[in-house]
Amino acid sequence: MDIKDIKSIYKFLRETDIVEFELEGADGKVRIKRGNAYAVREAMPVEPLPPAEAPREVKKEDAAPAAKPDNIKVVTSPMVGTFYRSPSPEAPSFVEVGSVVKAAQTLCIIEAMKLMNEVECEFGGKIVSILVENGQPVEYGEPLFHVEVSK
Amino acid sequence: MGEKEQEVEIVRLLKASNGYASGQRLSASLGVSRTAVWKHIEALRKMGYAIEASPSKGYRLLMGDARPFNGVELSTLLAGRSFGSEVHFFESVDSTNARAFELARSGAPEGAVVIAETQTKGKGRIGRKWESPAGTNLYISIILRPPVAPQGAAGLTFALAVAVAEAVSNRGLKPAVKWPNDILTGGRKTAGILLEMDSEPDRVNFVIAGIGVNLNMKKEFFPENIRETATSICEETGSPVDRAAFTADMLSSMERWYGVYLKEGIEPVLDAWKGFFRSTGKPVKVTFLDRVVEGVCRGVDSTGALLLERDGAIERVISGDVEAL
Repeated sequence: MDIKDIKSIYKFLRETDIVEFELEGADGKVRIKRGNAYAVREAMPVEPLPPAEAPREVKKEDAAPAAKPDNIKVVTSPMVGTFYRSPSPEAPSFVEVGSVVKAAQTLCIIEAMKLMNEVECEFGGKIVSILVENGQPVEYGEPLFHVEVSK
Repeated sequence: MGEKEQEVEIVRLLKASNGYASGQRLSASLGVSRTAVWKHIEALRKMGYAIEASPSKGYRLLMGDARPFNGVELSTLLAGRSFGSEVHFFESVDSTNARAFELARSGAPEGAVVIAETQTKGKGRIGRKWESPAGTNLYISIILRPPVAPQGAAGLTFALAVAVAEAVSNRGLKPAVKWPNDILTGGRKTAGILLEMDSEPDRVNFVIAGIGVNLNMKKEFFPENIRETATSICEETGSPVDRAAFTADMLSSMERWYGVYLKEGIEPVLDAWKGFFRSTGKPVKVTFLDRVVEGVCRGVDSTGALLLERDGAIERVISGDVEAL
């Protein structure tokens, strides 16, 4: 199973009323749990995946380590576009893994046809993983960040 | 009526009177003293209005060739419109988009515009700079509040590109669009559009459309790095552009195409856009953040994404710089 499969499962789930989903195979286990909020979905697909098959999106150091799963929220892409981690190629990234963010803080920009959408965090917390590489295309609803929500 | 509205009203009355308007009439219309009227006249003169005063006849506006470009003139021209319903004019700002963003956040309505004589940090795509010297071009940002989901908002890019191209056509030029929304004349960049959106996951709060149009800038004043790739309407036609009139004309095209986009969707917008697009079937170079590729442009799909053919396969491009080869 690789990240593409997880993405397809995720997309499929979005179109249904299923709120919890578990799949176990020879190479790992995925469990997805959805909340009600639209972009912010509780998820815990972080049962270790075979690293060789998912080298890019799930970096070992980026994976949510000891954080309590119900504290982790996923920020997803509001539209199809290109993912930018900084306002310009020379500028520093909006956030890094480990950054503490406030509600309404900009996390990234998604661009489609020269329409720039600043994606903001809807809650305060800490970035535990960044799931997409700078400059890569993203789909609508694709997970971008895991954020450990502050209590 | 605020101070600024009174000045807009005086200009309107002077234009309507086709001759002299007495101080008494102006003061009665505005409900202020004749001294207040005189102070406003002085302020208007400082803004560039040539106003003649005669002790017996009153005030007369001398309409020469040079119509001033300022908040009062723009407000007078745009009175009653939806796009331009509020004019926030600044001599100098960091970026009209940044200012419009603040205004939109504090609740400014759709159609409110921010216009500046000069920008100190004019924005282009992904952190690029937009050259914004004073006294010559148009730098404008408009607040839009389209009732669509973020996913459907990218089509706005094409509606606005058509509107700006139309305004440039109205000056007697034959503009082309460079995917998705730069406007070129004679192959050189004449106008650029940058859209910035503030959204919830399921709805758009607002979109700021920032538009820079090179109107009267002379070739020698363009910085060297863009002198051969950029141009202005005046350079192309040889006649100076009335900036306020151009602004009003462009806003009315924008209002119309925005309406078409909201009512009928992206299809008629893309049909019009294709009329300005000349790269279909031609070799192009596409620059992404991390790579540059070459291929043949196969037009755009129904969402406006550029279709790039490379090694027999078609790639959909949704962001990147596309240049003709």
